[in-house]
Amino acid sequence: MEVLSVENLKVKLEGREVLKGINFSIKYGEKVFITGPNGAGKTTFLETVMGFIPFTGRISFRGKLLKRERDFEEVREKIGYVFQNPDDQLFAPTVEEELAFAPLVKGLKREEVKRIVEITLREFEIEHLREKPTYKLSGGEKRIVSVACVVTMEPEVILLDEPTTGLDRKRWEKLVAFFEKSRSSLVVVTHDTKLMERLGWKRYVMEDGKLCSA
Amino acid sequence: METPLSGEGILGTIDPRIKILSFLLLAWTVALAGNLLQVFAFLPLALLFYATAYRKTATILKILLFADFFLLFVVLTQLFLGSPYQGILIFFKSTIIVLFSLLLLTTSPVFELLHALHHLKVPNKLLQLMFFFYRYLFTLNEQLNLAKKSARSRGFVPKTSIQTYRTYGYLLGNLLLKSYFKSERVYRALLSRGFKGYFPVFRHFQIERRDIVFLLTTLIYWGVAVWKFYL
Repeated sequence: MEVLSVENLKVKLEGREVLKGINFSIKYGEKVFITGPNGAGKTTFLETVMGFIPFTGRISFRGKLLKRERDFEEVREKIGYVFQNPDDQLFAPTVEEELAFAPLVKGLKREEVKRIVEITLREFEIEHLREKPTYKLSGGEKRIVSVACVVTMEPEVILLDEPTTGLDRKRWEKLVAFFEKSRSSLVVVTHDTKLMERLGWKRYVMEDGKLCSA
Repeated sequence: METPLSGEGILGTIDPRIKILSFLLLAWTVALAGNLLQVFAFLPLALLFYATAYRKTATILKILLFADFFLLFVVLTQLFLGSPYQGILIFFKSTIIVLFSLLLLTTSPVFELLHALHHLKVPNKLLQLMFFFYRYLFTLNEQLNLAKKSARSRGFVPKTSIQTYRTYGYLLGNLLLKSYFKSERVYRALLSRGFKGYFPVFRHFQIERRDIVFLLTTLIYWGVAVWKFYL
């Protein structure tokens, strides 16, 4: 069954048609890659699905049509989005607060939030960063924390925009292990051919605002 | 997000709510002082607080000197107006208040201070504004330094010339635009993680014995000083 589907999605920015009628869907637990040249519209596609950019066409989540900002607000807790630039994503004062943000906003009990945060810190091997201010993290650390803070939301779908950029071998492997283990549906925008070969998921190619199966 | 004396000495471990309340009480009392004796009644307490953070003497002196530099103008103005005593009184009042603020407020990280202000019923929106302002000040500074480095790496040397002013104009204009776009992206990041207009905090304060001891010591000192020198 499809969890997220997009039909004839069109986006126009500054008079230019950036997305030209995209059709896409993903099932529960399905994992796919989107690749393609720079400026093809991959990030715009993810941001549109999150409801950040005005569009025409249809976006549905679990069969419910998303039209207004209020509709998107309701589903954003269930769709995680990892930004291309982790600096844009991390806003809390420390890594621990960053990880706790979404579960607290969701209204989970403090003990439950603590449990989720501890599990995630362990899973991504970032316990030593717990108290560190987010703006003092290295590039690779920021990248892994930006994925970890979306994971604590326990979303049904995770959209990741070039998540492996700037990661060393160890963290890259950690992220791959997470991708393999994750039960969420994953949409990974990437240029990392090694990642695509290693995981072997279905690939889509975005070119000049059009999406097609590779 | 550290402040100059963040976490320094015993004061760094005291509950920020207690420190803010103590600071307000002490600063208010010193501000109301009518003579130098009343002002100096609080000097021993300020020195006692200082003793717990003596390792940061250089930082404390640097900040005090910076603040006192401006206060000198007040003293000079009063001198010309014919009331030097008032000038000296204002100088010492302000110095002791600055010392209290340094030792009581800047011994906690900014985020903890804002969290404490939230518990003291300061409006949430104001606190969020303060938090984001402080949080992104560093990012903006980093961006500006990067842009300056980029200009220097391409042979830019600041001079008194149109080219230099133009370059600084580009740098500042660029910073302004980047800040605007950054704010849009940060807002999206907040939305994408379910932000609903308030900023939840994971770690909460707990009043401990040392907080009560600190509060009682301050209150007793304040009471005795007011009784002896103010009433």
